[in-house]
Amino acid sequence: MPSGPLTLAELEVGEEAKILSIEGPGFLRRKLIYMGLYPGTTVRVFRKGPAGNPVGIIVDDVLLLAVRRKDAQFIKVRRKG
Amino acid sequence: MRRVVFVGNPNTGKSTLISALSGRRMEVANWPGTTVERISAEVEAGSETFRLVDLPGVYDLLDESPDAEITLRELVENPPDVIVNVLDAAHLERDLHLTLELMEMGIPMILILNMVDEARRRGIEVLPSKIEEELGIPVVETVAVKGEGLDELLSAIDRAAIPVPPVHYGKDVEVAIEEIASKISHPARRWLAVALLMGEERDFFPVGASLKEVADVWRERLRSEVGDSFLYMEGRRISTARGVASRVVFRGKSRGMIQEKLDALLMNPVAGPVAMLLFLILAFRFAFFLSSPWVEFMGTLSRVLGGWLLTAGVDGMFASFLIEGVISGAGTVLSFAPVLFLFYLVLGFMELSGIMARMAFVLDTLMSFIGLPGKSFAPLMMAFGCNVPAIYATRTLENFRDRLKVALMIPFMSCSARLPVLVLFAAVFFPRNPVPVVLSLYLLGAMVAFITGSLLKKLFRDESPSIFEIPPYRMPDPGLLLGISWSRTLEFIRGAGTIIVAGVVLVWFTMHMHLYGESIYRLVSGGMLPLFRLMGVDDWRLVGALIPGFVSKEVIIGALAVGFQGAEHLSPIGFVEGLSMIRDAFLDAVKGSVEAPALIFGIPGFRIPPVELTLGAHLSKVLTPAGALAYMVFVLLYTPCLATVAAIKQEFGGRWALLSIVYQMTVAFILAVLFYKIAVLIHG
Ligand SMILES: Nc1nc2c(ncn2[C@@H]2O[C@H](COP(=O)(O)OP(=O)(O)OP(=O)(O)O)[C@@H](O)[C@H]2O)c(=O)[nH]1
Repeated sequence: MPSGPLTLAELEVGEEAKILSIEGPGFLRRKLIYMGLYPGTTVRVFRKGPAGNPVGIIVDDVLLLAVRRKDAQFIKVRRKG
Repeated sequence: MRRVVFVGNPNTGKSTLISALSGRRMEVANWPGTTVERISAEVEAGSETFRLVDLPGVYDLLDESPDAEITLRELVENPPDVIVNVLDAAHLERDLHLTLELMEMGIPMILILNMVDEARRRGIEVLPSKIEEELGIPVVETVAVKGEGLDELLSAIDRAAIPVPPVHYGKDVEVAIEEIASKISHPARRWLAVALLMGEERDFFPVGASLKEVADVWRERLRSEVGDSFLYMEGRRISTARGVASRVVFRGKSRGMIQEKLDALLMNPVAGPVAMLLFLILAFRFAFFLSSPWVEFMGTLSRVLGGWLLTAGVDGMFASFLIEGVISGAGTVLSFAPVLFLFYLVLGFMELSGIMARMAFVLDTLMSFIGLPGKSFAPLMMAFGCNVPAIYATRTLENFRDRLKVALMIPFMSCSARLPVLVLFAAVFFPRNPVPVVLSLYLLGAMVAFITGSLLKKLFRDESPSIFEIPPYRMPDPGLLLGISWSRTLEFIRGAGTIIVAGVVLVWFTMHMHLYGESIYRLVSGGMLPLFRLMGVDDWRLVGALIPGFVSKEVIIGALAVGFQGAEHLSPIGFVEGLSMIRDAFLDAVKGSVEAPALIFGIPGFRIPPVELTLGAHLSKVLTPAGALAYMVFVLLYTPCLATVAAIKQEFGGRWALLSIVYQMTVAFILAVLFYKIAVLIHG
């Protein structure tokens, strides 16, 4: 296992993490920011779709978003508790 | 009259608010030059009348979606008198992002905290007075679905003031903003200056090329200071929003959300798709069974109108033209109306209730194989009922290419109008197992659609990121739902109606105009016959029926019956007799609708009326089973109906409509010939 920073795509259902940074192409980065995914927010994976895709997350306990795994790879996170 | 525009993130309740403010007397129309539907209304408040306008929901003015472009363009090119910024109180921090941007536009503004009922249930309390203190503009709490806070909203509009821009971008950047803004004479100068400094421009920005250069120079100069200016500015907005939210939002204990149980079912990887499929099938059967009595009613209505014409002494060619051309054309259009209306209700309910987002979630993986977001499953399923609303349902997708892709797939999904043709031929030529034959044809159609999708995926390449919000389950406002469905139906009657009537009239002319002693219809069918011989269809009447079938598939059996058995003549109907026929048909339709819910769970029987049995006897004399199979494949895959073509034209333009016809014809022809050859090979 490479020990680079963890990404949102690797979190299991039920795990909570804080977003450290958002990478990837500009248009994707913007889209994520506009939808409410930006550094500093807390995300919890609450459910995954069939075959683990998409990833369903709750942002800051209130906002439910669905992100495809390949987009979630660009979201670097730090696991909480 | 002051123009008041409603701006906010998608799904915050803008339409519901306008609908409630207007006492549900809102108008629904397409945004000029687009297919984006918006609601507007005139509302009296005291001595003044406001024009309330709903702008497409956006997350950020600089988002690259078509909706965001419409909203931004409107604010820049046609600045309103007042902006009503609607926020979802449950996730204030995210929604404030747009607010902070709007406050740089130099337009008087108020803030609406909507959905406070939902926020409270989740233990979130927002203090409006505190936000007012922080931002210096009027703030009102509302619950749009319950009509709470509406009067306060209207009176706050009077207190709207041009806001003081709340985001401070740091000393150096502010110098640059100031300099650029001072050269812009538009009220949104600060917002525009910030956008230019972020490296954003749109062709409708009221700024000259030289100013853009100045901004570029500044951006380079600031790079050492702040790095990528876009991310830097966004960052400042984010932290300002977070700061404000942290001071005005108070979190208590959430009283739990009932939705978790429902989500456990609907969003489960296995049970979810099954439940969604069942829900869709039931919903569409509901729409179908509820509307089909009305389709019959429309049929009686046009027969009576025709009969009256005969009684009134209109006869000869002209009567035939009016009855078979105009009245039956209009009848075709009107018989679509009840189906469409109910489909729109179902679709609207799914969208507004939050079910659609769950469906997108569970079907995302499947649809990603053909490069589409999960949501696109709904229009495709809907197409099994009727292709026309399915085409319009592509509007729920944001991306033009995704919409187009789905629209090109839809016509291959077998709609309910194709079923009778398939059933008749299956019963006559494959009497031992008609049901598997029909089902395999349905599957074939779906497979062709899927293959079309994969081909287009290769062609279009770019796949938009599929990130979407899953709103809480909500009870849609019935007034809004009915209003939207009704106006969508009217739009169909107006838009597609003329094309359909024109098509029916054209077919009538080909049947009644003669060249060299033969009708044009006969000549054209005969002329195309050599092509159809390749698929084992060797009778001009079979080919001929496909021509009106292009206008609508419902008429194929009728056209075959006329071809093989001669026309059924309309008879004169007395006025009173006609009225009582209409009344009876109406009562039957009402009875049918009442009984409809009971039918939903039943299994559709393959019941063939006796008239069609004699037609079947004729057919079996001119076709072999292999030819019949090819004919069914052709009917399944060729252009579904003129209404679908009209819908594609309305949504995507004439070029795509034409291309889709050519594509369907080619696919239908090649596969029909292929199936014929294979069937002949196997059975000799
Ligand atoms: N519980 C609750 N539901 C609401 C409230 N206001 C609106 N809704 C529901 O929220 C859903 C979305 O409302 P819309 O009015 O369509 O939202 P919109 O902002 O116009 O959405 P877009 O057109 O996508 O921008 C509907 O199902 C409404 O019935 C509210 O105050 N409380």
